[in-house]
Amino acid sequence: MSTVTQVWSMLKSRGGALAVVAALQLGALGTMVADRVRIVKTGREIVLPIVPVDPRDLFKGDYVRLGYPISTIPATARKDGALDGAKEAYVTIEQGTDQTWSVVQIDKTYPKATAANQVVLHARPTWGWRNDFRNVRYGIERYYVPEGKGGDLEKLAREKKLAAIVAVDTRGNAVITGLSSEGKRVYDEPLL
Amino acid sequence: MFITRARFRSDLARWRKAGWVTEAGAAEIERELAKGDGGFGLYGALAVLGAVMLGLAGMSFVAAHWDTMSKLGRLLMLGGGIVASYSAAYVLFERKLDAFAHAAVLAGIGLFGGSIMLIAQMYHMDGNPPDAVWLWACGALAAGLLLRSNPALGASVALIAVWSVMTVQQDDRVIHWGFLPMWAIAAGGVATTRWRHGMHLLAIALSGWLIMSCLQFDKQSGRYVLVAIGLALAVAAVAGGEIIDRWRQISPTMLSHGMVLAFIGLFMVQFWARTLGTALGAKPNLWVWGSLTIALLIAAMVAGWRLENRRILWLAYAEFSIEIFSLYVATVGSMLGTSAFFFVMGVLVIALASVAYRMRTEVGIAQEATS
Repeated sequence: MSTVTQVWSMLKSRGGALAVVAALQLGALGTMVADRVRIVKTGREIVLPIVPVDPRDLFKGDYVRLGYPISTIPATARKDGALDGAKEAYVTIEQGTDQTWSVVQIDKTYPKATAANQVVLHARPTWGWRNDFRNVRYGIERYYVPEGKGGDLEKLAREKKLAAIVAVDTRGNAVITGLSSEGKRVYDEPLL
Repeated sequence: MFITRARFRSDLARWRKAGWVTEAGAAEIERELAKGDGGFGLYGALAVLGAVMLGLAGMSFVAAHWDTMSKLGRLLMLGGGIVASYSAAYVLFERKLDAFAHAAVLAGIGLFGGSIMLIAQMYHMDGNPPDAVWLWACGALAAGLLLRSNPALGASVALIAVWSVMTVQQDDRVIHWGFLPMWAIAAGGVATTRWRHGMHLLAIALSGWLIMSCLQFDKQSGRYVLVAIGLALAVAAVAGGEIIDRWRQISPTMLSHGMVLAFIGLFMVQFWARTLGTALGAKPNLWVWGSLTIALLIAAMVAGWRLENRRILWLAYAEFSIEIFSLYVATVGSMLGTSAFFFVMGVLVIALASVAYRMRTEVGIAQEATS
């Protein structure tokens, strides 16, 4: 019996179809976890200062909304005119001598060459260019906290003492691995 | 034409009393009716509600961010929940308890969605929320297609609609074409199981998407596109109903949704420019558009009457009421103009009623002559 026939006969039985559905769903979930674990384990770690987005409404549900200075792209960073309608973009950031990260350029595709002190982040532009800047999201704008346990974090964010420790892979995908305050890790995220 | 069991039973009693149906025949019909009470009855509906609550319990568990248990522990708990749901579904299918089995499948889909949220929470992912809903919809669709599960197909249609709305909310400058292939796959599943309520659900989802997309396409011309699509659907349902229904009984749904789409489009053409000012161009001629809308609604009533479709008749009545109330409020040029409009329309509709009465009488006389 060929493999195709075997698969087909398995799908035709109710038990086989249920097993396939469960396997597909668990496989999709496993892929999501494996991808995140890979980035955390092998990605380059950078520390980005956090700016509270709205101090009056810092908590929405049970996550803290995080804003980053590098989320605002100056028009001078735009080298590619075709970017205007793009849904995805790549932002190159550079670490200065004071250890802070700033935006160097924004491209529609992953840049071919970057310097050692540069990191590329995959981004989604939120709106078109407004005056001289444009906002983007990197997918690291939420930090989930246990129910009712966000008070300390809120205080630190308001005092602008908080920074996000982020792992970035070679395709620009970013994952928050922890939070730091004044150079010390205050929240560490276990892999599993 | 749809009638309730209670109504059918009272009709049956009347026919038996009149001697149109024999006692034995009525008893057979009653037995046949009782057989139809099986399938997805009250217990099935309750089981589905229970499954939905189990799914919500899983999602609330995720939202609580219970840090006493490790990430792996939480993940294994939800993963185990998925496996347990499908295993329970297998056992229930084997015992021919299909309604409960489908509820277990639905619980599995809910836990799959909860697990996606859990992983997003575990790794603080704030990427593209519609992608997460799309993945959830795919899981529900796979369950619906492979298991021929109507509740799972229903969940997938709802998730596809949510995915589309979320995508458009992020960027309303482009039409979300991705909805159509996903909708078509779900429609294929519903066509296979011949699920009647699923067909309505699909029609509602598609109508909603069409309205959203036409307005995104261009607020000025999108309204006319909506009218054209609605009319095309209605005309196809009336003209080719018999041919379409030979494949699947969908022409009544096509007609009702076509009517709704065309009416929403016509309503926007007539009244949007008035409420939104000059942004949508010059004010339309209400004599022309109002007359056209009323004529189409009368045509719909005629179609509803001929097809013995009470839903179409009620829909036409409702749309007719909305139309004349809106025309009254909008005023056709002036109050005198409105008065003249309603007078002319009233005379025409009464004339039409008189023609219909004569036709009915002539048909009656012809039938008497032949008998």
